[in-house]
This record gives sequence, C-alpha cells and structure tokens, in this order.
Amino acid sequence: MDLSPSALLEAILEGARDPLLVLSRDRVVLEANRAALRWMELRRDAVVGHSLSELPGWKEAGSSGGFEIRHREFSVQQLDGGELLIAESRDNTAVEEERRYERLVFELANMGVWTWDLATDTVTNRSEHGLFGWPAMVDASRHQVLQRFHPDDRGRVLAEAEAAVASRSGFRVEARGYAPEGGLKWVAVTGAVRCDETGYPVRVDGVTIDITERKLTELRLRESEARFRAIFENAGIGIALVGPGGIPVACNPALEQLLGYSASELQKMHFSEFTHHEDVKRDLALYQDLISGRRRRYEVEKRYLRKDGELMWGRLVVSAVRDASGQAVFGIGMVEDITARKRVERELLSLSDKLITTQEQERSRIARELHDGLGQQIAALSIAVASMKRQVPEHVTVAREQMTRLQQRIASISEGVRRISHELHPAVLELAGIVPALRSHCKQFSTDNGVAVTLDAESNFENIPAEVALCLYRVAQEALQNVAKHSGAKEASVRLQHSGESVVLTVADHGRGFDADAPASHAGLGLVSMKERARLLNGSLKISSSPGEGATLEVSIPLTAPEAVGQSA
Amino acid sequence: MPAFRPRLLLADDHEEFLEEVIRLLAGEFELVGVVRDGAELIECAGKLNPDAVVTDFKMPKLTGILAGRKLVETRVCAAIVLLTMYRDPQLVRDALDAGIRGYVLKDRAGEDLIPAIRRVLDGDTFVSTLAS
Repeated sequence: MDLSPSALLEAILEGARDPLLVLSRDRVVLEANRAALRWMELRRDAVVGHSLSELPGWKEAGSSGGFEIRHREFSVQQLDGGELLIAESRDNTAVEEERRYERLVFELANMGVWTWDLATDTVTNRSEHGLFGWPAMVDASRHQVLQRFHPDDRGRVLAEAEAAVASRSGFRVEARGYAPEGGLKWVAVTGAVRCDETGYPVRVDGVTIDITERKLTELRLRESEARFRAIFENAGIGIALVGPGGIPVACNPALEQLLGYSASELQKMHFSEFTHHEDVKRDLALYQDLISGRRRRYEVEKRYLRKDGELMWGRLVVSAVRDASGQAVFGIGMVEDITARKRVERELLSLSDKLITTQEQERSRIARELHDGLGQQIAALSIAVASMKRQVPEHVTVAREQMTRLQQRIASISEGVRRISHELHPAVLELAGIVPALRSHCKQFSTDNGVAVTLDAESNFENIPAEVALCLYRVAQEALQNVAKHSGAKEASVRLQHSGESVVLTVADHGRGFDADAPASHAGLGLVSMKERARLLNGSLKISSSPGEGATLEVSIPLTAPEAVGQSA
Repeated sequence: MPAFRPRLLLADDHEEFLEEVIRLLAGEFELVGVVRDGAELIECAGKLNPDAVVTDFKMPKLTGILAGRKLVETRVCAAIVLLTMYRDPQLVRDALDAGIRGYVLKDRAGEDLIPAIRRVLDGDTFVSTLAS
C-alpha cells in the first residue's frame, strides 16, 4: 500500500462523502473531490486551478476564513504548516434537524436556556421562549437581564442567584415580568452553578420556563377556594363534607352551633349518631343511593339529636362531589334549622284540630239540649194540649178546632227544633251509624233542594271510628251543599266504599263543573274546612272537575291507627 | 169508666214531659209506677208485673230498647211502647227487632200514645208516622 502523503490525501479526498477542497494559502483550488464537484455541478478543470472567488455561488462566511458555496458552508483548516488549506463541508441537515427539534421543544415547553458567565458577568439567553417572550440575548449585562423582570421581583431573583453562586449550589425562583406586548407573565427560573477544577464558580447554567398558565390556574383555584372557605365558615346554614361511609370530614361553625358538637367531635361520629333513631333508616338509605349514584341529590326533613339531648328539626339537602370516573368522593350536606317552623306547624295543626273538635262538641251539646230539653218541653206542651182537647166535649167545635190549630203550631215548632238540632249534630250518626245517617241526610236533602241524590254504600261500616264517621258525614253535607249551590245539576250521587285500609266517600254530579286546576280563589271556607277535617284524620281530599264536565269530590280516610301528625315529614 | 184498667209502668227521665204523659194516661190506665232509668225499669217490672210498659229510648244506664228487649225475652212484659224523640227508621227497626211493638214519637204522643198502648195490649203493632 502506498502511504505517501499525496496518496493519503487522495484517499481521504475520494473517500469522504462530503465535499472537500484543497486550497493554496492564497485561495486557489488545488484539488476538489467528487462530492465537491457534484455539489458545484462543475467539471474538474473548471474548479482546480481557479481562485475560490471565481467559483459560482461563492461567498465569504464566518470569521475564521470559512465560506459558502451555493449556500453550503465550508470550514477551513490549515494543513502542512499553513501552506495548504483544506476546506470541508459537512452535511448539516441532521444538525439543522436537531436544532429545529430543540427549538420546538423550547417553544412547546415555553422554555429558554441561559448561561451566566461569571467572569464577564454577562448572560446569554439563546431562545425567545422562556423569558416573557423577549428576543434572545447574547452577552447581555446583568442589568439588561434584570430589566426584563417585574420591578418588585428583581431583588429576589438576583438575591437567589447570588446566594446560589456563593454556596456553589443551585436555585429556583418564580418571578413576574411583562411580555413585549404588555401582559404580565410568570416564569420559573432554575440555575445550577458550575465550578472549575479548583472549585471556583465560573458560570451558572439554567433554564426559564413560562408558568403563567399554572400561576393563573393556581390563583383562580385559590380564589375559588377562598370563596368556598368564606361561604363555609360564615354561612348561616350548617354545612358538612361527609365521606362516602357517612362520617363528616369537615363541618362548618354553623353546624357546630346547630348540633352543639365541635367539628373535631363530629369528625369522629357517623351521621346516624346525631340523627333521631326514627329518622336514621330513611336518611341512611337515601345516602346510600346518593353515594352509589342512584340519585344526584336528596332533600329530607329530619330530626337531629343535639349534644345536649335536645331535638332539632332540620331540612337537609345533600348532593355528591364525584371524581372524573363518577365515583362519589364526598357528600355535601346542608342543614337548615326548621325547629321553629315545625313547632308552628304543629301548633297550627293542633289549633285547627282543637277548633274543629271544640266546634263539634259545642254543636253536639247545643243539639242535644235542643233535642232532649226544648224538644221534650215542646212535646210535653203538645201532650198538654191533647189532654185538654180530650176534656172538651165533641160538640164544642170552636174550642176543639182552636186546639187542633194549636197542636199543629206546636208540631211545626217541634219540627223546626228537630231540624236545627239535626243540622247542628246528627244524633242518628251515633244511634245508627254512618250509612243510615247518610241515607237520611240524602233523603232530606233531595226533598229540601230538589236535587235527586242516590246513595250507594256497602253495608259494613258499623265499626268505623266516630270521628271518621263524623268527618265523612260533614264532607258529604258540605259537598252536597256545593252541588245545590253551584253545579245546577238535578242529580247527584254519594258513594261510600272501602279501599284498602281506607274508607272513601265520593260525591259526584253532572252539573256545569269548574276548572279544578285554577287557583283556589273560589274555594270557599267550606272546601277549606273539608280539607282540614280530612287532614286531621291523616286523610286526603281531592276534587276533579272541568267546565261542562261535572265535578267529583273524593275524600279518603285511613282506618289504620294514625301516626303522630307531623313526624313523618 | 171501663171496668178493666190496664196496669201501666212508665219509664222516662224528663220530669216536665213525664208530668204531661201521666196527666194524659191517668184517665185510661192504672199507673203502677214511674221509673227514671233502664235498670230500674227492669227491676220494677219484675216486681210489679205491669200489663204494659211505656219507655223512653234515651235513659241513663240502659236504653229503652235494651231494657225492652230484656223484658220481652224474660217474658216479664210483652206489651211495650217506645216513646221517643228520635224518628230514624233504623231505630224503629231496632225496636221491632227487640220485640217492642209500639213506637211513638214524643211530639205525637198526645194523639198516638193511647191508641198505641191499646194496640200493643191487643198484640198488634203501632208505629207513629215518621214523616213530619
């Protein structure tokens, strides 16, 4: 193998994939390899022996004698003691690609890379990204760099950096600055101090990352957290964050006050422990439904057991906080104290109960007095007249006729008293029961009002309680009265039947009807009192009607022992 | 004056009314006793063996219907007239069911009571017209 320098040079020239030129010191091309000729698209003799500057597409580039031919960079190295120059060109595509990739990364990460040369106290920041969007800086003074930061943050940034240099460590600081277009931005500046072999710090390398987005999110989060805190702490209603198992994780002061337990005490209790035992089962079932996702929220009126043993009525609204997968993380319960309202409701109920009961008792007393007292006195008077008449001889016709007239007057007074008495309180209800009482009332009503009333009743109503019988009778009375007054109907039907555990009374007519859904402005005291009577016996009353379609009133009273009123809410 | 005057036991607790009834019946019947409640009625009837009993419906201790039923069932007296303020058909049925064959409304007693007692004594039935 020939290892002479010229053979070696030739081997190198032809073996290189990239263009290579050998130049004389005065820049005349002495040799060009195939790749170089291909690049210049020239024949060998058009290149060799010619000065560089004569080559098409040539241009000076860089400071150390480099140049470009047809936009391709050539770097120059001295060979052979400076007599010979070799110009080589590397394929920069991969480097370019790498740079492009690097720029992309910096851009996407909003990141910039910088170096602080401690000897010259200058900073080079190679990217416009990372430092609020300002153009890259080369050999900038520390003053120029600091200017980029918000005046309030400059001192902090510098102090952190200097402290890191002093301790030969690193630093991280978050600081604000204005973007060229004016918006306030946030960056995180991270730096690491580099030392020479003697351990003396020579430069600091670092990155800046734009964290504006994160900062804003944080701020918003903090604001919303603060807002929630403010509501939680100052709300007038009790609020608890309850774990899926039913144990509170957080309770606000209002709840502490409502229940008399401190938040830390509550956080050791299951909610069933401060719930009245009769309300536990329902609340638990609803909470399970909420946690399992079968309901989105629930609302319930329940009794709480305060620490001092007192009962508190609360209106509870519970909703759930779920994670991205829909799993319930918390229940949020909001409790409003409705003890006072419940008391008023109870008082109203018992007041109206008392009112109706007292009224019935008073009516019944007056009715009895009229019937048994005054009625019998009138009967006695009638007998006295009859006795007297018997003693008057038959031929004294004038006297006998007068006595007959007197007897008729007395009979009419007697009838009047009986009627008033019956209207006040139907004695027949207790004597014979609801069905005969209704039958006799329907008959009387038909005669008095010219409305033919039919009664359809199953027979076995003997054992219904007296107050139920009275309620049904009163409703029938009132309903028939309405038929006569408003419907214009000539016929009406009354029906009494059992339905499950209830007795149902229906009064229907085919009269002119009315809009049953219209606001109850026309609902007189009669309807209100019917409803009230039904409600007192845990029953219900409904009216269905529309114009021209007649009307049906239905009252249903349960025969099972009524629960304590107001406790089932 | 008829030769035979049926012996009558009266039961009512309303004094004023009772007074007039006694005045009405005195000429026709022999009044063997007046009682004020249902229990007393049963007791006295057992002792006095009246031909007929006239009883109010609503009385202390026992109603006229219950007392009357007892008298009929024990065969103490079969001629019983219920004299009452109540004109409910159900009460009439109850009375007839109890074996009481006379039903007279108090405000028709002036006209109806004497004929009713006579009818019942004859083994017949008498009910006052209920319609006013």
